[in-house]
Amino acid sequence: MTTDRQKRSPLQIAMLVATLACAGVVVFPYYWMFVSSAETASMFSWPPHLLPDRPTLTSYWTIFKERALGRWFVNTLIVAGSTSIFSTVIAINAAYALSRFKTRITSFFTLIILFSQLLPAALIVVPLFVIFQQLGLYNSLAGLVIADTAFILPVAIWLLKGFFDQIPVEIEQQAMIDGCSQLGAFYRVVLPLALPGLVVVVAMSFISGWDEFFLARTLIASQDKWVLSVGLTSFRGEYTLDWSQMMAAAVVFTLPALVFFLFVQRYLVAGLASGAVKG
Amino acid sequence: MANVKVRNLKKVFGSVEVIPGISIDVTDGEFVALVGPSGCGKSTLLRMIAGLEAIDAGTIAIGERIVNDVAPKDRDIAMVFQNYALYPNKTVAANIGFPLYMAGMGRAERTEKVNAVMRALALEPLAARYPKQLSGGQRQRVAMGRAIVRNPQVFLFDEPLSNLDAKLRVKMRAEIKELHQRLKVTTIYVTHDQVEAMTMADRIVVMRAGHMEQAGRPLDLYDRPANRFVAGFIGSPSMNFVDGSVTVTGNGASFVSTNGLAIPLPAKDAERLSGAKTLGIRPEHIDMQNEEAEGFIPMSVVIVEPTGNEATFIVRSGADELVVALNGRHDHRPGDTVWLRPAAGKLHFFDAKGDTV
Ligand SMILES: Nc1ncnc2c1ncn2[C@@H]1O[C@H](COP(=O)(O)OP(=O)(O)OP(=O)(O)O)[C@@H](O)[C@H]1O
Ligand SMILES: [Mg+2]
Repeated sequence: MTTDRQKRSPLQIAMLVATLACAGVVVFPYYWMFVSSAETASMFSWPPHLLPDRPTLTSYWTIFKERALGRWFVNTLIVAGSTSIFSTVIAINAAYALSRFKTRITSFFTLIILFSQLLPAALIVVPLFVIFQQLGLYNSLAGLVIADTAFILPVAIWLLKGFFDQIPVEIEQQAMIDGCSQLGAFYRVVLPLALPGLVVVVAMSFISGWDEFFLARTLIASQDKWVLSVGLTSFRGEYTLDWSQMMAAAVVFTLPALVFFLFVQRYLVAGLASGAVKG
Repeated sequence: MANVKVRNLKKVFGSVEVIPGISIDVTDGEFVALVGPSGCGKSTLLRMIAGLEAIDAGTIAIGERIVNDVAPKDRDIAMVFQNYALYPNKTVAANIGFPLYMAGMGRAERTEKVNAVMRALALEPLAARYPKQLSGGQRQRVAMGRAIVRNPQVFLFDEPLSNLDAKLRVKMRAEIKELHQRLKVTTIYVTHDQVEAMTMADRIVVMRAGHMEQAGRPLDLYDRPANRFVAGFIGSPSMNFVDGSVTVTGNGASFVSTNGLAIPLPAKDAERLSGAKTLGIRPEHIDMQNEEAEGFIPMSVVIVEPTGNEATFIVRSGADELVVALNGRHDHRPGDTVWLRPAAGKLHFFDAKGDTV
């Protein structure tokens, strides 16, 4: 250990310090959020309390008891979970088709998918609102899932297509000779090889469904169907602005995504890295 | 085991007729090599037999059964791809066992068969490794093991040795040949390496641009090529070709090249060869010596390529160049004048269309 330390050059030490500083900048707001949520005093007191003065969880108690935070939490879980499942399943099939059946039409379609990504959500949301109203999807969680899925799908498809493109088609054909049907070769052989890509898509679509605000705000009217991102904003602009409660809600909002991220992070890094080799 | 009958098989990619219509018969237990230059449709033909490529016209029969509409998995074939196509996420043992697993074989029987194959191919110490932990030659053997484990009716090989270094290639060549002699499974083997084809196959099918140029036993193709293309393709180093025509002089006949080199011919052949436009002579069928002699042509040595047990020489006379291969050691040096004579009865002649005269 000591010999290790002696070997470090000044440049390495400087880099280490810089890295820690960057990490600190990223992590501090989250830390501040936790601290503020756990004390009743104002977060703007001077000098700032880097540790809670009198730690308490009353804010958490309040937001779950007096506000429908529990309800919103469940709604968000439903929306993010369903978005993740649907977009992954659809993206798997679409990406595989686009990767393996190369015709002029599929290449054209691949491009169209990319272009659809260029349209800003703000442009689409009004027509979407009208359509959803006519279809009876307005103000329903199912409608929100459909909208969220539609928005994340292009990225998901492109990402997975990159992974499928990297898997030599001979492996699949070998599987077909070894006793699989075409579909069987895909599910038994190709899909397991694309697992890192799958994890990336599952995580990405879950998180984008989790913290999506714009569509949720527009397509959902009644409070009992709100998701957390919308609910969070309701702490502001009412009669009072309780920072502690708002930060507690923010913690509730951030924590599951954070836990999920840590959970899949190993695959995520591997997946993104292997995607970078070719795609 | 089974024979394979290919009838008027046709393949079109877009607007290109890659295979305009080819018919090939492979008898039960035969080892047939498909050779031809790159892009001539060897892989396409093999993949159609495997069922991986749609058929545009014609039929393929394996045994008595027409398999045009049979899925690859139901054709009872095994294939080894050029890149081996091992399953990266499965161990060596699992790779070899996969076809058996898919066939629904029980675990105990499967393990037994996989072990037997691994023993035969000296793969036992590698059973638990993953493909990326193997050398090229080991991967190749795993692919072979996966092919033989299920005891198929037909083996299909698509250039299985072309990713190996020269030495290993020679070794695996012998192993595959031995394997075939032991198992006697009908084998179709694609290669663009004519040495592989010559050494391994019972019969060689030479293809060009989707056509069959000639099919026959290796030495028949070597001795009696049907045309200039086959003559040039089979044999190494390749046959020398000299363009020109037969000229009858007072005391005999000779083939005179367009550049003026005269190669004497037996007078009795002059009539038969009157239409010949190209003379072919294999490098190993030329006698070469330092002294002038009756019927020998003087040429000068340009390049010497010794390999130990034999040597090749490039010799020149005017604009005509010949490659000569001699056994043993020789002291010819660049710039030397040497005297050459084609070995009797070893000359080949081709007409303007390239067909053998
Ligand atoms: N999927 C495809 N689409 C269009 N053309 C193709 C396709 N596959 C092969 N071809 C064309 O068909 C011809 C024959 O290809 P094939 O792979 O059978 O050649 P080959 O004899 O195996 O050559 P090599 O020795 O280089 O492997 C080539 O001209 C190739 O460009
Ligand atoms: Mg090929």
